[in-house]
Amino acid sequence: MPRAALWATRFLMTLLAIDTAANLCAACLTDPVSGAVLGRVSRDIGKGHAEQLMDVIAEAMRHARVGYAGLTRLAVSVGPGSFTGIRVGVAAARGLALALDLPCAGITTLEALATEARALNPGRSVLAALDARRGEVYVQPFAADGTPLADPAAEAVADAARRVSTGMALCGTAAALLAEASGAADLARGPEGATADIATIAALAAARPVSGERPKPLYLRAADARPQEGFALPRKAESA
Amino acid sequence: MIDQKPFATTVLGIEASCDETAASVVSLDANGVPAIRSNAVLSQIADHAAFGGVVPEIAARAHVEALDGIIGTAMREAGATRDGIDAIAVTAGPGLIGGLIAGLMTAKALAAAWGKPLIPVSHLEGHALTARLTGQAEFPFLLLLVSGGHTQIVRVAGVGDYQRWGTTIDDALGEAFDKTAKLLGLPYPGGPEVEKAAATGDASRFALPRPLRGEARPDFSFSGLKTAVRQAATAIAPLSGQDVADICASFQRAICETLADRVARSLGRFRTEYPGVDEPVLVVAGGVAANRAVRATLESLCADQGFRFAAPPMALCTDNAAMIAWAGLERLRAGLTDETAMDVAPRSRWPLDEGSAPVFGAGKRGAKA
Repeated sequence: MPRAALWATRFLMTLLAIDTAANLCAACLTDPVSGAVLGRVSRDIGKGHAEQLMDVIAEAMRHARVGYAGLTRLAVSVGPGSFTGIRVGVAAARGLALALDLPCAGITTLEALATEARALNPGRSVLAALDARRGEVYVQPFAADGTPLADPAAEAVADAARRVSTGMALCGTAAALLAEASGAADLARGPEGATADIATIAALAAARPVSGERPKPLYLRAADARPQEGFALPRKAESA
Repeated sequence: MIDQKPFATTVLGIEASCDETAASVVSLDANGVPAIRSNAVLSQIADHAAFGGVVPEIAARAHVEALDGIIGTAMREAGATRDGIDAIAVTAGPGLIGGLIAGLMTAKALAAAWGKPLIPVSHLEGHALTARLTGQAEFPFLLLLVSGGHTQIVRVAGVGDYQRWGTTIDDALGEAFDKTAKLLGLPYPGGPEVEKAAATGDASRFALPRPLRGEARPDFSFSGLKTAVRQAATAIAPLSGQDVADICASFQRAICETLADRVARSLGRFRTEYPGVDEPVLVVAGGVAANRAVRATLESLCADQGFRFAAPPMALCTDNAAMIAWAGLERLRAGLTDETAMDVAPRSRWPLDEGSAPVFGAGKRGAKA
């Protein structure tokens, strides 16, 4: 490799972001310093992320003319979203981080959606809300400057609706539901998808300080499991 | 870094199909001698104990957060670097889909980033080929797989050449142990607890059935036995400690006599089909192989029938990644790799012998066993 090219690869920063938390199977390569998008692929597939993700990443890398050896940072959307989808992305991202010894940031779908909503509605505070089914939503409020005002949580629709106040921007798949349930006035609406654009996730990751912490799925719901009781036959009381 | 590469072939194996997160580095040296260079296993038993069995969602969550760490451990313990790895093998089925996905995606990422072939492996093939890793059997041989998820007897004639001769038509043997333990209020996992209780019990106290005894078909059935245990135990509840011991002993004896009767069918068939094999071998694998009474039964059956009994060390009988690395290594050397491996989906159901007819539980996802 010519010396100049070697220098270039040494100092070029490239961030790979992936998102499989919802309907999209997406990968994006950016220069985290300039924010330039070098290559991106986003397929709206709904299901089958495990089969397609590596191909999506490879295609995005071809567009960007970057190989795995050229990556310097990683990012992955950690949910909330489909439990299986989140695991596909987080497992792949952590595998890449291990293989390439790179830092990997975890970005939530709620913060990414809120970022897009703020860009569309400057000056408004934001409530990001995703349909969680079973009468619940995954929800997180943000101030107009983007500061989170509470931790992300799964809440009953009625409880989440109480977080909606006049002049807010609502985003995510539960935006319309909460707008109606709250009855609040002067509401703006942000993007209403189940996840944000992959470039938004990459930009959030680029702005985050590099840490050695590994990304973890954000389920916001305990695993569906109950201790089994009443199955065992009764035992005699015995003195030992 | 320049890797010295003292081994002819080295494969990293990854396993996350049930409740163990495991990774292992296995090599074959230039003389064709295999070596397990690391075998890291992280058990989730404590995570599931309160639920009396493996909870799929809990298992999936644990795998995602444990895989990279356990793979790092396996690489370090083996003293291996990416340059010294020739391929990455991973369990792609059968098993719990959440764990399979986590393992498969981690393996895909490693293989892509390192530019190495990815070899999706059947968990059952891992068990089937373990006796070759340990040097305990040459093709062809018979494999009896008895675990919490599987009970089958398979003729193993070569890498990728498997024929299922018998399988359970209902519950797996390990499942029967676990359900008996649960009924009796013994802690999870139940197999070792039943064995412990049986040691002080009277095996003749309860007359329990020997399912399918005497039938020509070489299959297994444990559901009726499970029901009989429940009825016998319910009839005398509340149970004393001695009652529990007697039930366990009676149950374990029924299991052993059933196994001897059922496995004998396939030993006879093997003799007929392979008259030229001087010392035929029965290999046992799966967690139930740890049960001493089961092991003694199979040993004496083999001695009677002129078979050699081969049981790999316990760490290689239960779920582990060394067997997955080894199966991948055998596939790599046999040229049985798949160009489209990066696009494969995990398979919760994946019979070892794809040609065999499903005995039960065949749905849109395919044969269950």
